[in-house]
Amino acid sequence: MDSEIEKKKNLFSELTDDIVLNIFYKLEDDPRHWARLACVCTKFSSLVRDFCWKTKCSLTIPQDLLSAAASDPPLSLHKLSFCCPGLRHAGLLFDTSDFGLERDLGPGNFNVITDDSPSNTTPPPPPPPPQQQQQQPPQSDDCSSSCWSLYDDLYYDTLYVPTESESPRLTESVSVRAGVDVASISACSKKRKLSRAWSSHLASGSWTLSREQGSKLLARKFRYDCLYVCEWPGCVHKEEKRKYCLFRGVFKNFRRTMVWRTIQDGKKRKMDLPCAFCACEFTWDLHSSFCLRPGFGFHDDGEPMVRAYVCENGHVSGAWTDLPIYT
Amino acid sequence: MGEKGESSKSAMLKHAEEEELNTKRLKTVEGEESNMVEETENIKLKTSDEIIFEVEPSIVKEMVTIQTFIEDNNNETSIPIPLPNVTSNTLRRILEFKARGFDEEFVKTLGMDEVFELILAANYLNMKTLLDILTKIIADFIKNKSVEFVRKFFNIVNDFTPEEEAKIREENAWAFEGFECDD
Repeated sequence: MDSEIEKKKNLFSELTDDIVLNIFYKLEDDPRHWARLACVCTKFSSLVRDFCWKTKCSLTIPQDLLSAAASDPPLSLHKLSFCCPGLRHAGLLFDTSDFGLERDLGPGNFNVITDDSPSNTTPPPPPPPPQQQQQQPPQSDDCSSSCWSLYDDLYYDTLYVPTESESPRLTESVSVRAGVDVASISACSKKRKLSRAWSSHLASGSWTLSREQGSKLLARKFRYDCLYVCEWPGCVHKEEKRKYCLFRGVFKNFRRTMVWRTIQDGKKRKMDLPCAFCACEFTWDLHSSFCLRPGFGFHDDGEPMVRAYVCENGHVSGAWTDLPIYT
Repeated sequence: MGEKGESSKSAMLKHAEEEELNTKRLKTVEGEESNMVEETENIKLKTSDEIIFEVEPSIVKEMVTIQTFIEDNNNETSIPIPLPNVTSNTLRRILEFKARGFDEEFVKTLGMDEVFELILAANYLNMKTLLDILTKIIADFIKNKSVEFVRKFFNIVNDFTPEEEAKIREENAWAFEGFECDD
């Protein structure tokens, strides 16, 4: 028995990197295989990072970004290609700017801007609602409330567009990082399953990034900034109220962009919303920083048509909703 | 005149023989260049446990390492070629596998230890087709397995620190979303 174990140990140690990579490259159809193998040991992690991801990124990431990444601090480019940030990192639950305002002010008291004329400017974000409904889990009486909130939608059963990685929904507890106290979840909501779309997952749709998509997002003032975003429509999630097209992207040389300067000069408030692609604990709201195109207004219920958040490394997570200009 | 005729005839015959020999020597086998290997003579291979196998040249042609060795040694094939990294059992399996036309189902009847040994041998002998088949089998086997299973399978010791492992798991949490391993 000991000799068998010893023999097996010797066999693995004789497996050259070439052989291991030969095995890994047979799994390149689904990026999740490599990501899981990277968790096995330091050798596998190095091989996946230095060879597998590098090869894959050369096919999905524009050369322009790759050469910029070589000089800047390492970016999680491979993750940007394949990983949908999920509803959480796209800020769908973290919205203190305007969502629910109509409910607070009453119908008709909230002007929705839909005109996409460049001369119009986006109004300043309204103050957060007095009750921190977006920050607290719904109480048990909210289960029968006729007042729908996006929060309810995400904490109860939701439907989403099947992706190639469709799997049964998971029951998962909400991270304290999201600002939600797990202990205060009502008995009603505990019995429900959280949507898989909540956390990061393999993105459906295209895995390539393009500058064209990024340029459609930014205001004219920032037209010289290079923002690469995944191809439209991104990773589509059909929720009860509307469809969300989650996107991810990255700025090239973010510290040299006008967006960065605007955020810094304007001392824009950091959001307690961690980045999906690196260790940044906070992001900035590009919408309220006036970095997005004017004309990205709000739906009748006060929800913004486009959300986008950027971390200090230039990673962008966001969500489109149905936009009349895209019909 | 007669002598001259005889001389010419023998010269011509000699020339023809040389031509035929050169043609044989320069004959290219489909898919591989194989100069100087004579089709009729088997190649002797001597495994690490001193067993000598006589193998048809057509099979040896798939072993690029052996081909290179033969060419580097002026096509000397009478002396057994040493294979210090291949046991007789493994070589026998390779020949058996080849005889079955690289039938994957045959490999699946073998134990994983034996598959590993075949991989190492195929890598050493530089047999690309065989290596691709074997690595594909391993890949298919591990792809829906947990991290812990893969460690056990390859007999890998987890050399991450707890902090490193937590970090890498978090970075790759997206890949575990909805993952149901079939250990």
